[in-house]
Amino acid sequence: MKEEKKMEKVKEERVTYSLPIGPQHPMYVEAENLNVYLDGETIVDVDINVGYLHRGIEELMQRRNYLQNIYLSERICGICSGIHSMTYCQCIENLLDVNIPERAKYIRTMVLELERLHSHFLFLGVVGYEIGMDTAFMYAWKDREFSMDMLEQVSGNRVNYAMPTVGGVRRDVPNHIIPSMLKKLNHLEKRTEYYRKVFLRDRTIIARTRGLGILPKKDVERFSIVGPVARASGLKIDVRRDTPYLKYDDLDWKVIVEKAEDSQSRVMVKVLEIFQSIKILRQCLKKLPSLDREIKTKVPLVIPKAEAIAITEAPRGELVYYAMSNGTDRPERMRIRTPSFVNIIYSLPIILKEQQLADLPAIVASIDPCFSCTDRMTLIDTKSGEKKTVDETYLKKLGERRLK
Amino acid sequence: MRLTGEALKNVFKRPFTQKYPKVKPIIPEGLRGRVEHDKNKCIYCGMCDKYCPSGAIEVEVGRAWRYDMGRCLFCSQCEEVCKYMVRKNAITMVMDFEHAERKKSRLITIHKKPKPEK
Repeated sequence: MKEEKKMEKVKEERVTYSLPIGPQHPMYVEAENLNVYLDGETIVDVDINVGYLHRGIEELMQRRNYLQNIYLSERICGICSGIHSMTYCQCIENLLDVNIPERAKYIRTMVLELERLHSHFLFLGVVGYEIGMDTAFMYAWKDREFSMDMLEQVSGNRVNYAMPTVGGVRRDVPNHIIPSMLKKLNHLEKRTEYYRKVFLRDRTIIARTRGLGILPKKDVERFSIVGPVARASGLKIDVRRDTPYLKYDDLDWKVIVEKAEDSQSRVMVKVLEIFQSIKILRQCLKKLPSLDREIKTKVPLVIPKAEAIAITEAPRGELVYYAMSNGTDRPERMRIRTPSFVNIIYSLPIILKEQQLADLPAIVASIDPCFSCTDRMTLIDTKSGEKKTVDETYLKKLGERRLK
Repeated sequence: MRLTGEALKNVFKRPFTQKYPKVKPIIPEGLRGRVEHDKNKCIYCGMCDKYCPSGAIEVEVGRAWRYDMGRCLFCSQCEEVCKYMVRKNAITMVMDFEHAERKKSRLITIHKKPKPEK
């Protein structure tokens, strides 16, 4: 406590001015406010204000029935929409305690890996764009089209695939599209090899990423940062390996870990993960024709009282869904914990400290933030500007009041 | 990136983009396009209304079926419900993806239950 106060004092002495970045800023498509405290051009501290994109999805979920919620959960995030609906369905299946058919498991794994491909290509493009290297942006997004085409072939839509349903998947993958998908995967593998060279050796990228935005391993452990950001700091965590779901424990792949802890290692983790995704996809496509045609088990739509949890690895890290049913066709309580929330809130102040202001966009882009997943509620007194975060005691008090 | 080599390579390539309105893109089969409703097959039970996630379909039970394309998510839940729960197959998703209209009211389709022939 004493040390914190000391730090606060040092900070106050050093800060020459503060600069608000956002809610509307060319750096990002989404609306978010970063309050940057500067000493000249050096960043001393960052305040993050989230909440501009809060839509109250958890509350909305409690007003809809279990089938309608599949499509609502998909719309939490525009990039990782598939993983949200799959995790939702897994959570409801855990509530009901049903097993889904083998073929449905393979198809789900396939869609998730295709989504990881397109999300990682998007990330490579965004990093290139923030660095000022528009060629990399154009190239990565051109190759992203191939993964989007594959998703359209499989699911019938490019962005919100609406592939899973409670108890299985909604449509089958016909055998005749497999050769064309394998061809596209070969092309993507060739291109990823090229990106690996570019993001490892290119002068512009080294100048803007190597040695910048350092996130030490002990801070990763302290703030339980998840996903590729943690893996880039040398922590070997991956939900797909630690608590396997779907078919991940039967398939041959490995967790990518980089030890450099800087922006470049965060980019390299994602580039190397693309190879692993392609490897998984090839195995799934090889296995599919030999499986039974059944893709869905019958499930009741009214669920008795129960509680369940589902954990998966989204392209950005660990995603948790909690559901509680009450004997009707609507959930009593839904809770979603998204990976970007932890990654942004806890890692941004650490990695931006003592960096140059001009490097801010590139460093923020390197943790692949997804602001629409992040938004939570903060209470702000508009008259005094006082902020209040809802904590455990406040919630308990609210609960007691409700019980009375 | 060695830009000179890349640039020279790309000069002799065909453009990756398509001339969209003149040249139609190749659509993979199974695309979820417009919702098509068969008014004779439909029994106006209102199950599609109950499971529509965005409220695009409204059914006056036994009388009329109303569809607002402006609210539709193209998730094909209505098709699934009609096919597997009601077993009537009155709703299908056709592979038509150009839905732009100048007026909002033209996005709305209302089908009334046809009168039985005597």
